[in-house]
Amino acid sequence: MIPSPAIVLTGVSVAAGQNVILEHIDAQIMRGCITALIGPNGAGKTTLLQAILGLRPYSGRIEFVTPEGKPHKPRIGYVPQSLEIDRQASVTVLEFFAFEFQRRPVWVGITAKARENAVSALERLEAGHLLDRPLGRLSGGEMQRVLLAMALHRDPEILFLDEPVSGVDIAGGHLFCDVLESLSSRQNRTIVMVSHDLSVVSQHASHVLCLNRTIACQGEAPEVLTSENLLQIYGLHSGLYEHSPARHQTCTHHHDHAHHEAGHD
Amino acid sequence: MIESLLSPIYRIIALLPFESLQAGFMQRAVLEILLLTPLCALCGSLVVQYRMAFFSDAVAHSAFTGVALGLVLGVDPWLAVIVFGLGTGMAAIQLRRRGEMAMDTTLGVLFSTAVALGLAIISTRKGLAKTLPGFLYGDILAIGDRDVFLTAVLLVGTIAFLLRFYNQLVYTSLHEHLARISGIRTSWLETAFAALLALVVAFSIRAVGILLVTALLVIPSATARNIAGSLRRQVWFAILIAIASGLTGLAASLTWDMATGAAMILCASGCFLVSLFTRPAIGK
Repeated sequence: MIPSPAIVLTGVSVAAGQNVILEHIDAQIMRGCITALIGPNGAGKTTLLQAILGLRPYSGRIEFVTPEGKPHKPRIGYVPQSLEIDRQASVTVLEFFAFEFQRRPVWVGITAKARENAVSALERLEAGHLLDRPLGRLSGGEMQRVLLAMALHRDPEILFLDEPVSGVDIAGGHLFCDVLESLSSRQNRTIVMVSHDLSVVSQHASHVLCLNRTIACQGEAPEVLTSENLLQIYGLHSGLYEHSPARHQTCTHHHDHAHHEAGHD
Repeated sequence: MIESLLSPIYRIIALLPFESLQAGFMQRAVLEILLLTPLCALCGSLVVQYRMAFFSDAVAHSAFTGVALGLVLGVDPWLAVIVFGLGTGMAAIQLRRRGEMAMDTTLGVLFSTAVALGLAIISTRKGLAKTLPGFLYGDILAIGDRDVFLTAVLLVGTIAFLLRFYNQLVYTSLHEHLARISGIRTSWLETAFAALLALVVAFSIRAVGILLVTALLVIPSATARNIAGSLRRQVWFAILIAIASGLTGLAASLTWDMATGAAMILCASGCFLVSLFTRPAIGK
């Protein structure tokens, strides 16, 4: 079945003062697929994500649409790279969830309902043991799981991730991406992720949108992640070395192993 | 009317077994400490979370200009300090929002300009300079009933504000975009908190002075952060440390005849030192 678009971008431009960050972006994000936004540093990947999320002003049109093509306001989940927190901060994972689940300040106490919601959201990602840990003491992988659990508790139709596996060890990264694939393939969620890690993109994304201020290329991952395109986007010879025969993701997903070979992404 | 409202509380304070508490100025000082220190500790937990210590310092130092303008224009200098402090806080937030300069640079410019302007005005008028020490060092023993009452009003207002918005403020400090996506109006909230903080700073100058007001906000919370395993405990520890430091500082200042504000801050600093050494033992 051919997927229908969930987000349609038409002539989207973003500027910061006189500096044009993104120019005339026309693109479609497909429903039920994992779409990766890739590009070199400063290409405008995170800026585009923020524009889609309504976090920064833009010109042009960004529309969320139903499978029938009608405008629609979907439930959104967002997983940032990390939180602005230092190691000494005492905010616990449970308190972090309570910020979403209860109005009563956490110093007055955590409601039973908030605790219950936090436990069930974390257990869904096998992270229940992190409940009482201070946020500042979590590893990169643990933090990503907590942030994903927080995003998923809203039962989002579209999930946005900003560099989901940066700062996460390889095993943690694979675990995280497996969860994403399961969300996309079994639960038909639309996932949009910004990533500079081409090995993650090649293994887990079904669609790729290459940015370099404008759209450099877009389409299904195997068609886009070619040496010619990577040369055009990153300016250096890059390629993907695959351990096993190439079997890229489609919107019903599989899994294989590939590594980003080039020293530059 | 204010006096009749406060007198039952003064009578309770006078029942405590300390001879010095029979004096009216001591009863007012104790009540002011019991109101002001929890107020600062509550706001302080957010100051530490938002890294706003320099903001608080800039607002406090803007009091130089507030005092000078008040004295020159014939307005109550304390009122001028509050109005000017609020203005400085709002200017800092607006400048930061425009995003053209880093927050510490913006505050550095505001801070220095406010101090220079205040000193310039004071230096042109003979006799004004002698009023400065009262603002620099504060004097909780000279506080009046009206000030105590106003601190109580500010404490009640702050608690009401934080009961509604504390979680949202901490959430915003952790990740503004995440907070916005969850429906929090982060820009309004940060402005409101900056205004509240500017008021708290301006009110605290009376007790501990321009030079030490940031310490009153930051040290109890920083101490509590060293030893607490959750934000909830951090807030309550900070309140307890702030009250204990305030009362101990008051007693120490009477015993050794030193500035009360300075003694209060030194007690809090002592707690901070202890917390630094305790931290490894409790696994933080």
